[in-house]
Amino acid sequence: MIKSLLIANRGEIACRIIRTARQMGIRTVAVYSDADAKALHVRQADEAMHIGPSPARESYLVGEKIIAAALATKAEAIHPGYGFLSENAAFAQAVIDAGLIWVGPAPASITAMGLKDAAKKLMAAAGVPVTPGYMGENQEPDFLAAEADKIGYPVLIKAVAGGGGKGMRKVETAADFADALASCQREAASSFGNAHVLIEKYIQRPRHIEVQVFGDTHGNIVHLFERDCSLQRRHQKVIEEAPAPGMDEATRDQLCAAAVKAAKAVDYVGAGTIEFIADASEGLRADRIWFMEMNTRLQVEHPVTEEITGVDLVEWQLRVASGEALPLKQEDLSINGWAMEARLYAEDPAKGFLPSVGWLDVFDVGHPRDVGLRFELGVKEGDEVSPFYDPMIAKIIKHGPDRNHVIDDLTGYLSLVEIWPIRTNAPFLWRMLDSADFRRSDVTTSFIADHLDELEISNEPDDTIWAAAARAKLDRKEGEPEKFCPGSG
Amino acid sequence: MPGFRLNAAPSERVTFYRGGESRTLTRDDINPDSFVTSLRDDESIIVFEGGAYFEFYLTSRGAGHQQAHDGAILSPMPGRIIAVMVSSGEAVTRGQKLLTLEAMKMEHTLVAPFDGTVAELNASEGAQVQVEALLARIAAAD
Repeated sequence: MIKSLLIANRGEIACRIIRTARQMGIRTVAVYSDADAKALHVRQADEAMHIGPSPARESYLVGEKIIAAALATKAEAIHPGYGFLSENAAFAQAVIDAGLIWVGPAPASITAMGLKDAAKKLMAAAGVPVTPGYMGENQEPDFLAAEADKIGYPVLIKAVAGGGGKGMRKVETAADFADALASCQREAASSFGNAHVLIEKYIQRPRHIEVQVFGDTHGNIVHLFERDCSLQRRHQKVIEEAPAPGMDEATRDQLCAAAVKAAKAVDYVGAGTIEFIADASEGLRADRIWFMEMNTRLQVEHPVTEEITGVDLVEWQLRVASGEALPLKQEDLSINGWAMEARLYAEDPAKGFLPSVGWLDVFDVGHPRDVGLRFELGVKEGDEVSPFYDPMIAKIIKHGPDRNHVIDDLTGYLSLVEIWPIRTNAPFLWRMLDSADFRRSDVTTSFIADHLDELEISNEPDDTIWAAAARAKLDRKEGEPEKFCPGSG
Repeated sequence: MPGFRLNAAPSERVTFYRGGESRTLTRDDINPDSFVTSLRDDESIIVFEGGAYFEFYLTSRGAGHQQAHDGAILSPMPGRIIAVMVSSGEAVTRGQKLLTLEAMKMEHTLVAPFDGTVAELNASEGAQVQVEALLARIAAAD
């Protein structure tokens, strides 16, 4: 087993990896930019090394600096987390060439799955069903517009090197195609250094279903069942759950078998996710679920899988990277109950979800043991949310006996979080969970866009809140603490 | 307003300011069974409700940022300007894209609030801008 690990990431995922590594007796090394000098992941690691200025492309995205930090701190292995360099095959190879252990799949597997067009061709050849679209070298706007006409509107333009919802545009009509293409190519070039895009059919009642897979260096590959990540805003996931509502055993067996086939096609080692798109117009049917892409890394939403299977996926990653075989076989894995994750973003849902930056003077999210929840936090009270990185500051995960219990608990909890003066999407999250359509599992990836009226958030207080403010002022007694809870006795 | 009494004792009433609005409330307006957490200092009260917060100022001075003047296009966040679609003096129509800002890896496009002309333009591609920086001003068409 490795004895030391550098985490080439920040925020909640760096903190989450540090936690498991520490439980396994592994020494942890954090890296940080100027903006993150006092960040939570730096405080939690055994050691930390500065790697550059605040912009990610001058720090977290500079492979040489990260490898140099690993060598300087005598770390044996590098865990990339998600995002940043996690799906960069050249970086993975450089880590290996430097004599370090790469906690992830072989660079060749990343390359095979990294370019979405090549990945689809590979999957089609391996007998995994794929959606119709154009994936090729010709990037001329007129040619791509003609391909979009052939596929039929609406279409989706996606950055070939993209992921996480970045570099993606839905286009409703041919008239909007040119603008959307230019914007998508610009975002792709700036976010991924590769402006190439692909065009695919936009599916009308789509659900996003994905399967967690895991491989080791001994030739074993298992799946850890599916997740449903249909609740997305502008292609960014906000609520994830496992298992997928409405999935019957036969469909699950076929889907998971296709996922294992996909992973085997690239000799996959480590944690990976096969993403599928399902046309749910007649429920989930195995013949209407198509391969979209493979994420060759740990996913943001991995905790819901951990909650229903009892597996620590980061522990498995570290064991596999150390050369061990997978701790469990397929027949040892089963689904226990239901789990759901809500992503807490520093953004203002009343102002078009603009990022909210500054200091977290109040960040009261309760104690996880008090409420039976799991928190993956990237910040604590008093920390700063800087404008340089992704606005997700925490994940809140609930495991329970069934879907309704989980929704009730998570809804109740999210309506009680107290965060100030940063704005968060908490009021938006619980309204989504509490919506009648979500409760009856009537979800598609356009759920949020379709329910905007019901989900509208206002920062303007109603009469009850004015009265609550008056009570806080008028009931004030000398010597009372600044924080005041009327009615709490 | 329900329960509003001008003759309430000073210690039994409070005036709050929010943006352009102010309200005076008395003890009669309070529901003693309400359960809301709040934070306070000498200048403001912050009420937490439903995962959100609401700020009330005790003086008009602290009543939050001045409302943007009509036609002022302010940067809604710190970020980088990645595209400027108009030039100074250009005629624009309501909803027309003016410029695109990038922050936290996302693009946000600012549009003209009404028909008019670009009276002022302080934006260039690649420039870093602070929150509420005046990026442009649209003068309304007559």
